[in-house]
Amino acid sequence: MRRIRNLMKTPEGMAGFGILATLILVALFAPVLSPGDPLRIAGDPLLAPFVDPAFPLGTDRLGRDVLAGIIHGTRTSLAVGIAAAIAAIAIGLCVGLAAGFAGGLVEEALMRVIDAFQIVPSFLLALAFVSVIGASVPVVVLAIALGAWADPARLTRAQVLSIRERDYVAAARVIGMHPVEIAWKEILPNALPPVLALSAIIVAAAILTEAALSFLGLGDPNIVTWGSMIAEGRNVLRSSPSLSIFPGIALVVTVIGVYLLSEGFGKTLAGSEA
Amino acid sequence: MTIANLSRRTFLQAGAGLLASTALPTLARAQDAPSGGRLIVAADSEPKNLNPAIVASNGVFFIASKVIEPLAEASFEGKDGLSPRLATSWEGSADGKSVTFRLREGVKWHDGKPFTSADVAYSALNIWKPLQNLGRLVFANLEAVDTPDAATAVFRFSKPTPFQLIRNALPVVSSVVPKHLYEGTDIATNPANVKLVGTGPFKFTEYKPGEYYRLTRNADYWNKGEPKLDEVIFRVLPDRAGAGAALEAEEIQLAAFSAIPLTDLARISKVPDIKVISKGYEALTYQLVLEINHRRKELADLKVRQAIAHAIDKKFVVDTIFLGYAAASTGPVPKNAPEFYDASVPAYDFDVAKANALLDEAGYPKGADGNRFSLKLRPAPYFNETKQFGAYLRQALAAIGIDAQLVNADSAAHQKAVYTDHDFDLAVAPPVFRGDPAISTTILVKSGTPAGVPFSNQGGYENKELDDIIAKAAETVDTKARTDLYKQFQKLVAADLPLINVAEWGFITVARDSVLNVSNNPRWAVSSWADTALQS
Amino acid sequence: MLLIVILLTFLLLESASGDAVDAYLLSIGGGDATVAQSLRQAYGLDQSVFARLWLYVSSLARFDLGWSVAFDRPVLDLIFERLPNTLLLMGSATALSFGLGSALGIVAGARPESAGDRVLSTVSLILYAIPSFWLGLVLSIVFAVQLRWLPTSGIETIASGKTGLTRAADIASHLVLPVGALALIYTALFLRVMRAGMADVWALDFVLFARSKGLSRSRIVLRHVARNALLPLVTMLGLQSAAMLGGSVVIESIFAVPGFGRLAQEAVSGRDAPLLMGIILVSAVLVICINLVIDLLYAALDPRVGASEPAA
Repeated sequence: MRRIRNLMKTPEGMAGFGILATLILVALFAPVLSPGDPLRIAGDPLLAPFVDPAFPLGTDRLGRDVLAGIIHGTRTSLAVGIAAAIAAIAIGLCVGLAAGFAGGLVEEALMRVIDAFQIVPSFLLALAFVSVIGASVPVVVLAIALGAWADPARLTRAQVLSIRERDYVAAARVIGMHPVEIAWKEILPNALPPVLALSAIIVAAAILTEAALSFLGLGDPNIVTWGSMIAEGRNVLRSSPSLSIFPGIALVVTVIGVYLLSEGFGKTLAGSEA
Repeated sequence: MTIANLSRRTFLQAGAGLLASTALPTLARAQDAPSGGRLIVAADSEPKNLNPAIVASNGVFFIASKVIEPLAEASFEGKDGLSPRLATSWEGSADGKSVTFRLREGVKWHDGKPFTSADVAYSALNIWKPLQNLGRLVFANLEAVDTPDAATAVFRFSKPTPFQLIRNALPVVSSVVPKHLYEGTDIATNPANVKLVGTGPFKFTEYKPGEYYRLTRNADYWNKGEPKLDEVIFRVLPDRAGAGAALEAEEIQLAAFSAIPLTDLARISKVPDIKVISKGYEALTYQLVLEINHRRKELADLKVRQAIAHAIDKKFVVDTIFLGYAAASTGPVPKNAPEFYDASVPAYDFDVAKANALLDEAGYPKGADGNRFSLKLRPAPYFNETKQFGAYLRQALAAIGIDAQLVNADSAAHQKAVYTDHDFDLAVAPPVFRGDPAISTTILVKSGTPAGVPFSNQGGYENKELDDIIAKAAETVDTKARTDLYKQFQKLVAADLPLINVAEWGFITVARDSVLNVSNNPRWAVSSWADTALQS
Repeated sequence: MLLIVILLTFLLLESASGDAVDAYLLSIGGGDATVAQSLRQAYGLDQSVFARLWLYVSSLARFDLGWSVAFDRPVLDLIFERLPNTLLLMGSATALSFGLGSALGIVAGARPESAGDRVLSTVSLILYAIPSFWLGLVLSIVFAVQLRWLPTSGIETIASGKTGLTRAADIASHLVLPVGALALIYTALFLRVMRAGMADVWALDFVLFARSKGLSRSRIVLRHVARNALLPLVTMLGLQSAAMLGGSVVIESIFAVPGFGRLAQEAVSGRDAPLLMGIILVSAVLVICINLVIDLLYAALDPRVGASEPAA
């Protein structure tokens, strides 16, 4: 709680928190704000925005409500971004912890795998993965996580290495705690915070990657995503630019919110250390 | 940006009226079109094998038809819809076992060697019949090609082969390649498959992968005075939205095959000096078809298929998805094939109440959540319109209580899932009608095609009566009797719905006004462009 | 390490639905079952997974990247044809964003929390949040279609017959927009890293000492603060090289640049396993090389990293 209060003291933290809280509320209450399937054909195609009060942001090529798309798209973007970050950090933590704690040949092997993932351009990997396996939300989440877990893994291992030799770990070893228990109870809690600090960056990157994949036509067709809205709007970019501008703005605002929040966190962390 | 844009637009529009009135009359005159100039055209793909004798596909023809010519080309005015190219006349025997071609004399290959009947015989027996994707079917019973003299080729068939079919297939299956470059080599890997040598109005000069193909004028072309252009350049622009921008910026002068998205046409037609042409694709009609997997218990029931047909608002599909650049289909043969088309087939009006009633009758009541059953719907990824129709169909089916889950896959995965693994309930496909139902249309519904063949009946549909009609038509030599069989075929398909024909469309060409003689035959984009010219 | 990369890519494509023959048959508009079978035989696709993997790895040992199924040409030829375009695009974008980003970062970091700093930070935040494909679309419409200052797409004017300097100028004008779209976003990133780095360094003892000595502010900024803050930036450059290579896929597709990214897309859609593996392998080697250079650079910049220590 104290941390959050400190966070709110920084202007970045407050702005970021405000943006994200709003977005999360929109995502949670999407079915209330805009009931029904956002992909349904609701009106005449290509209505201009700010003309018909029933469709404040207009309609797209097939007559689907743009506002409904943006509202429900919030769900997809946030869900994919957060799920991918959680998956990436979970994989990263496990591998990093195992590498740092096991040492020896296991560590060597795991580090090579981490290296391999770090030198392959992650977007290329995600692109190949999704087009080969097929586009659905879990596959997209996994594809993004596959490209993002190497950084947290490396960081976790570094943390583990620095913590491993500290007194309280040595003490735990002396009293005969099982290595797995030591890793879980003593090392993980201390190694976690810097890794979590990475999470905001991963969430932001995941949201942008999801949008880029959808833009290239690799999104799940059964749900709305901002990236696929931009991709569809692209065909009419010149005659109805609003179709790609509105989801574009939504995307930018979300990513800015995430960054601001992470910066606010950074400041409070620096502040509490000083 | 908007203000600057607006002022520029209004300024240009004021001038547009003037320009249009002076530019139009020059379009009509074909013969005295100016010579010279370089035409730059958008191309969206780079086929790895560019030999139209082996690969008879529109992607290959688009580029190769300017270099390698067929025996005859499709025509708006000519007899039986054909105009002579390398052959000057053709005639079938009464028993359907031979066809005689008189060949054009004085024609030279691009390397200077003379073109003779030996080239035709070699192409037919060694390439069209054994290797070509469509020729394998059309020339299945071709036994020998006699060459009594250098300007005559007589095709002999082991079984009666309808002359109507051969004639209709000529523009697509009869690209002639030089015997002297292919004989004794491995045809599949011959370098001339990429660096083409033909008799056409343009020579293949240069290919820069990922950037462009360059064709240059053939000064020795058999038709004196042609070609008009000095060069044709196909610029590779894989991104569809890029073609419109390049056309407006005058980096290219022509975009065929709807390279400019339909949604952009209304706007781009208002740009001065740019014309939008929907003619010139009459012989390459694409059909929007809903493929049905009859292995699904629900879909094996005719009432359910009828209900789905009633649930589709064809007017919405034509007006909103195709923006009017299409026509609603009645059956498996498009209206663009008047020789075969029959309008008197069972029709399915858009009627949601009737569709719901049919489903109730079939024994699939709506559940508590409003759903009757769920289906897996795979729209083919090749066109914007097939994907959009998929999105529309999901909504249309929801209205009659069928929950359709869309599956998005790229081309290779879609092809495997539908045509090899049969992992679909409904699929949206865009097959092509190629002038005769026997070439690529009957295969969509007849039974017995092994798994793995794209654009064939892989839905497990079997109808003995329909198979018999198809088999009989394949060997009926008499044109009238054969046409009647195909009329029966249409009625039966429309009644039993092995698949649902939704719409049929041709592509759109967008060109700068300076390009003359555009779209003057029904396969214009894939024809030789010998008379196409540029106004300087 | 590279072996792991190969293995992963191979397994990925193996699990794909549809193979090279499916993709090819589709592109030619259909064919019958015997065609498919003979093609599979010709490409060696009828052999077992292990046989093909072994074949690939053993030919790799002879620096042979194999034969592209989708293009019917050697993979190495294809890669060397496209690589220069991507390197040019990435190189210019990196140079531009690094230079501009660090310079602006110094301006912003020189006086933390000043008005200039706030403006730069806000703008960079917004830029960094914009998806590159969106920026590319907007740039191309404004500068290429509306204003017609620059070409819309491609790498050079086709079949222009230009040589020497005019050709270089031609290529440069084609590169402005894609480089701009890619560089703007990375400029924002570098600016932010530089500024943050400087903010950290300001608080360090030796800077406080220098200030107490009464050294001029600009001297402190440039000689002490900026120089030290540059180090994390250089590290960042290495880390981002892989991301930039990936980001060029989208930009290349928007501006029709015949580069590496587009080749990768074509390889995936054509299910061209040897080509895709070749691309991933070469990009991995590229990233390794870039990081090697950066380690050397790091050693040159940071007196603390001596010859005796292993490079970071």
